Amino acid sequence: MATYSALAKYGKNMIMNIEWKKLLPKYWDWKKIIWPFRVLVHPIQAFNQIKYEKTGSVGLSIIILLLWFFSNIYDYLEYGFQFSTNKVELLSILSEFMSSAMIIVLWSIANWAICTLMDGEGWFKDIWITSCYSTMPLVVTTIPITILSKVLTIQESTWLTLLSSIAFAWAILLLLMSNTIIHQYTLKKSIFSMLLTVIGVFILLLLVVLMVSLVAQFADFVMTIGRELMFRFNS
Amino acid sequence: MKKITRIISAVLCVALVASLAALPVSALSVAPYNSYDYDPYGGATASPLGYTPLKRVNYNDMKVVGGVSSSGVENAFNRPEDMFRYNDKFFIADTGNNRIVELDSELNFVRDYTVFASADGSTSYDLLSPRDVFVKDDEMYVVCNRTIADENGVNFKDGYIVVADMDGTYKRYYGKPEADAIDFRDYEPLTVVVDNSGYLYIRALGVLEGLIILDKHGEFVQYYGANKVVMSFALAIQVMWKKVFGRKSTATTIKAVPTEMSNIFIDPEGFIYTTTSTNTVAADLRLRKLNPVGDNVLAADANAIVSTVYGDRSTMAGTALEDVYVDENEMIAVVDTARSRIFIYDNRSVQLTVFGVGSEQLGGTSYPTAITKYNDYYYVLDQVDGSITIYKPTDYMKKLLIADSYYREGEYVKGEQYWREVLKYNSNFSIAYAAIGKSLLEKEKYQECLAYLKYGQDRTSYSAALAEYRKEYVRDNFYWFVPLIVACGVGLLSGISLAQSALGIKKKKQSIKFK
Repeated sequence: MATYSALAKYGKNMIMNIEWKKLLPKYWDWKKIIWPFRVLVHPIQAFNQIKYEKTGSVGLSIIILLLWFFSNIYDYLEYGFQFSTNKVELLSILSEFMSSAMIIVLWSIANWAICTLMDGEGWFKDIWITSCYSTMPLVVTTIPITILSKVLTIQESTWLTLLSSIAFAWAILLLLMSNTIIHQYTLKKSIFSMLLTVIGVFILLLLVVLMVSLVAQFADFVMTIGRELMFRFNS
Repeated sequence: MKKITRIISAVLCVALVASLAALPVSALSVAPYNSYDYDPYGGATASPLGYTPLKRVNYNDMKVVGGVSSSGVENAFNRPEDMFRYNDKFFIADTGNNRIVELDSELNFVRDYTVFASADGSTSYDLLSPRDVFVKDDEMYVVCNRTIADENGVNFKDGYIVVADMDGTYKRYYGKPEADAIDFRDYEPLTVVVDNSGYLYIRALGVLEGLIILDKHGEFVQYYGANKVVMSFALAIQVMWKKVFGRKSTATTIKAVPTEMSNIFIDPEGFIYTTTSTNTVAADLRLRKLNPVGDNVLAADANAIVSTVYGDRSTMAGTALEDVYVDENEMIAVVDTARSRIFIYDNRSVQLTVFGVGSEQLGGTSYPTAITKYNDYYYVLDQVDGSITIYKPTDYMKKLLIADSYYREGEYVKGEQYWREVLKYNSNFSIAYAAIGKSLLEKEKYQECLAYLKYGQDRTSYSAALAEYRKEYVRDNFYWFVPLIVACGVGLLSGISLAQSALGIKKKKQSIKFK
């Protein structure tokens, strides 16, 4: 036993003696890299530091969002055969993107718009970073759950549902905490503002759809005029 | 050198021409249609032909005696409505000529019946525009229709069913059923089937309550097995408007009533199959198998991801199921008059094949109205000219029928070799993979069967096989499995702890200070 502990101590010392910080590229800010994981375990402290000490990174938050998007695609394609009826041919990248990364984009915009009116103290950058970091539970759990789904039977599917709902609840909780801290709200006001944000997201979607149809109709109008002119000149 | 290349090229040319000539004749010359089945996602995949036309037999070939066709041809049929096979006799309800025609097994004319009279001549009934003929236990049931005038001179329909034995001697008569529950003026029976206990199931025009059940003595028993009104969004809106505008509007809006059935059939076990031709009924209820209580017990395709559809999946063409025949192996043949095709389903509602086309060629029918099966051949009656087209199964279909009958009996292992032969013909056929997978599962070849069950889209069996395979795998690899898990756990935990110390973010334990 003593030899084992001595060995472990030796190994630990060996690893500790390497100067890890110097091994990392100079432009890598290890503190920022570790931050999304800190959000997972110490959310309140981590969000506070993002707000006041600027430990968040926009680039990293975009990477997290893309990771979530890619893990969703992996989930769609590789989920255990016994549970999923997904088909590669039916995969729509656009709808996958809309149901993952796009939600956070719309959420951030709507949240900024609403909370600016509701005396929120958050900047858009902070809202963006914390919203992206709040998806960390989903980023971390989606791929392990997908791998687990390959070896579970239909009778054991409850475990998958349990795990994924825990991850989802965790993410929602993180979003609530970030909203409370970034805007310096009370819990009640935070929940209220989040409900308003959900409505705001729908309004944004409506605007997008309206915009798209308007542009399409305008293009159609111009094309029709062009066609009419061509008929006139040709005849 | 040039000469040699010339000779070689000449030889090659000859070989090419010879090989082209030796190519098998295209499938189109065998039958004027293509066959397809559906994958579990509802996509149509081409499949080999299941049935090919053997011959078409018209009134000349049958040597029909008597009767005039609608275009005035002597010795022909006039819009025959139904065909029924009893042992080796075929009966055709020659509606326009007011007679029943009996054919032998070679489809040669034997005799016709225009009247059923009792032996002593006291009672006799003319067979007026017979719509249907049904034979059971050497008793012939003929559904007749006539129009008579009441005391005020107003015409109304008065149908009746006459029963005779096989030489045409009158036995029984069933007129308009009389009971408190029945209150209709016109009675126009269209189809009759008789079950093993002698009850008559009558499909009558405009009777939306379902089939009329009469007992052997003609007493009304009950209505049976009506199509249910399916609640839809449009119907809900309609009901809402009715609520808003009150009773006055109900006279002007369409009533939500059950859709009428287009035909009925009774199988040897006594289950009644019904078809519904209009598209108003849900696509998975166009064909139903009714149990004695009147509930639909026809199993939907369990492995299909999209809902089961009887008839055509595309809504563009429409489907009008007109007749159904179920053989002793529970192979269901359904006639679609919209596009003159016959769909074959097994008892799990898997579409095995489709044949027939709406054309005048051999293999096509103009308006197929009745189907029956004799010696593995399907006989389809064309209402327009009264011709019967005979379809014979291909080698592929014969293998498939054997394989499917083994599957139906649960003999998965015995059927495996036949399914493998089916796969040689049709490698896209998912149910063949599922059946082989089930056989391998029964043989406890778990690793091998997983792939087959995946191709066959059988998720339940896949899950069961996976449970067994997992158990086997863990048992075989136990010696490194547990150490690996332990090592992973220890490595992960110590890794996190080390990384924290190395990067200097390890939380230092703070002692609480009291002032």
